[in-house]
Amino acid sequence: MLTATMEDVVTTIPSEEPTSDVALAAAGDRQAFERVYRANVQRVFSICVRMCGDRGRAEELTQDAFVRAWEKLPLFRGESAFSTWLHRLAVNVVLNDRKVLGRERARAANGDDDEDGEALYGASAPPSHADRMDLEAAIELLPPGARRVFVLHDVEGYRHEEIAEMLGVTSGGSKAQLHRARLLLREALNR
Amino acid sequence: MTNRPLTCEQFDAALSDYLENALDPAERTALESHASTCDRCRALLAELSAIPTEAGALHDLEPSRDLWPAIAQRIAAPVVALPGAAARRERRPSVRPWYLTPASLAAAAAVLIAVTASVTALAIRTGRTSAPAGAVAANNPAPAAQPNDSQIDIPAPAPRVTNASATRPNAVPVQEVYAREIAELDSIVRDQRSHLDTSTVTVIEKNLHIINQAIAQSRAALARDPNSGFLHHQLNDALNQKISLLRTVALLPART
Ligand SMILES: [Zn+2]
Repeated sequence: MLTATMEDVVTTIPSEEPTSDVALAAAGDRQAFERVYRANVQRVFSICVRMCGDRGRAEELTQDAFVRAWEKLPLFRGESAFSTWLHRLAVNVVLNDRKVLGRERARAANGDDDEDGEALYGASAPPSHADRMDLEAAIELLPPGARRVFVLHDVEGYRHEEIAEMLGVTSGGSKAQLHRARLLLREALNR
Repeated sequence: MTNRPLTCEQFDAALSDYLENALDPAERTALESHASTCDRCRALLAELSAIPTEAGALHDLEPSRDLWPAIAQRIAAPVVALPGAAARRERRPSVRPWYLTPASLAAAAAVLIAVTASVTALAIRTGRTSAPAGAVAANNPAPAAQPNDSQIDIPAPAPRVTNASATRPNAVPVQEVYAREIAELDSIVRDQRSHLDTSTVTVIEKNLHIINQAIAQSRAALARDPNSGFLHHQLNDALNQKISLLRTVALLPART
């Protein structure tokens, strides 16, 4: 987790080179942090896009994630790789985003959300710019619950236990959503 | 279980667990043997198995614009306003140009040189745990705040904490206090920067870089030796240096 505990006594950045950009940024060096940003922005943006299904919002969330990273960096203890830490932080930023939640609720009210994904890729769904929809576009059209689990598991490589904890669901629920997501994606990719 | 061939419905029901590697060997075999004889289920299995592979190979996406400028702006904003800082900003009309007298610049340069010298000494000693703690004197301690408003309001002295005990019960607040003060001063300095001449800014940047290096090195050393009182002292010293420097810069234009 990202939350600081009382053990986060003094930042420890175990790194071979003590003046890596991450360490410098943790000490407050903005130029170093910009380099950290440049090196990681595409990865973080990709997570945000795929998690929230909206590129415009994902750009804002990417900015939120880096601002949060800047604030949290002095507490980064180097127990995980920096990239692991940053990606998890980005996931949390998306999951805590009120606007994304609001839009998903509206979507659910319109009947094209989660509980029953049968009509997902129905008449209104996929753009017909290509004969076969590509995986990226198909992911964007998944219902939110299935999309999040799919992205976390199949794209980002988290385990069901981790996903269950992040999303506040059971491990079994995560497995069920994953299977459903894959079935829906297959359907979309084959049409 | 049983050796009877699976139906397609049974295949579908077991497929998720199969893909999760959650079936026992007998069940796996039953499922695979059904797939080997049923075109529909074989295709389904192949296509579902391909999806995670394809997903893991997706390319990263690129934002449509540079997201950094807005981030840079946001991380320059103060976290918590110190008393006095808001008032200082209000009293500074944005249209009014700032002129630095030669005397104030000379004084500032002297301070900066002192900071550079002691921080460089600090950086050189980092990693040598035999040196006595506290060898670096606190430079340029800020005078106490003046209630008189005709004077410059000077931020309170830095939280100078010698935090060398092994238990360090109050270390989190200390780090937070540093972070907050640095953020606040940083934003003042950022405002100030446009009113300073380039050579002064260059000196400031150079000093900040040295101090940031010292902070990073102290933290790295602490990662290897977390209980070293000396290293904690080093880190706090470097943080105090940074606060001193920022405070000096924050006060520069007002020293007329
Ligand atoms: Zn079959």
